[in-house]
Amino acid sequence: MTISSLLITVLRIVLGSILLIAGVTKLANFGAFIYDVAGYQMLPSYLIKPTCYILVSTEITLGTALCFGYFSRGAGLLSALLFLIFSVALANVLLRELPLSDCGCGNYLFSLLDYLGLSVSTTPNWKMIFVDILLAIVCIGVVFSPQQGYGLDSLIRYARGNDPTG
Amino acid sequence: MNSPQKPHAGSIHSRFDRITQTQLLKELLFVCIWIGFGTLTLWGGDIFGFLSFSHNTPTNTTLQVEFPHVYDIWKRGEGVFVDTRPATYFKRGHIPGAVNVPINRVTQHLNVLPTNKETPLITYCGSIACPNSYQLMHVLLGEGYLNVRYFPRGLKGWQTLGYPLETE
Repeated sequence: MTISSLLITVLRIVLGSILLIAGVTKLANFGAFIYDVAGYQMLPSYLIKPTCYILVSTEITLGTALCFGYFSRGAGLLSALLFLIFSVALANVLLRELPLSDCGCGNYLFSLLDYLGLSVSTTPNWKMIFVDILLAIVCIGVVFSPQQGYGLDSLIRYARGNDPTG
Repeated sequence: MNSPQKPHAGSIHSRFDRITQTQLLKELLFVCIWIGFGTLTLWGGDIFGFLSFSHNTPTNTTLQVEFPHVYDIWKRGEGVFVDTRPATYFKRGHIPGAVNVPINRVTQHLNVLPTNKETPLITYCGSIACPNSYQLMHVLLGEGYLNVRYFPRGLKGWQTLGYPLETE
């Protein structure tokens, strides 16, 4: 067990849990999530519901893949893209000065930072964009790291007789 | 004889070597397939009503106006109906006496609303599938209007019960 493998594993699980919890939270209150997405005023009304299905499904799938370390590089790359899309959507709200009271993010990291006194809250703000970009960078780090940590991918490699962490 | 140059260990190039493009593409493909399955499952779940426990029931249901109360309000002229759809749809047909405040042009259309902030306003959209009436209600509450509610069934619900329409 190396420190870098352990670090990548922890980062991957943190990223995965952020996405998984966000996806499950949105699924549990799907009606409200539809209204949150509509509040961004980026999509025509007939695309709002399909977008909500895709977003929730993407978050749950990527979150699960990252937590369990299965297809973690592919999942990491798509997660980075997802966080960048969130950043663009939030920037759109702030630049157009839309009166959106809740970003509908479901990101527990925001709540955690808010609890630590960094006043991120649920109303769209520039700190959220900063955090999302930071998370995207971490995802890219996970994708291009020579170590992939411990998970189903490493178990499969181990079963095939390859280096389990590489 | 020149031997093929090995990339320097730890360099970006060597990392790209380890993560072969084929493997990454394969992983992306598998993850996308799973996302597709998930999307279809959610879509199916919504069609068969598994998501209906929360669909169209936003946080505060006391802000909704439903039949037959909405008709009574219109008939007695107790409130102003606010159509959230684009102007082209509004011109084709709307609740008689309604004003048009498209959800993506709110600030430009606020002047069509009554200046008295206590006037009851009822926002509506095309149908129950359109969430813009709920969003506009919040926008108007944010603008200082004190008595705003929304009519979730929208124009389609209004038409279904045979209530009159007005065109321009």
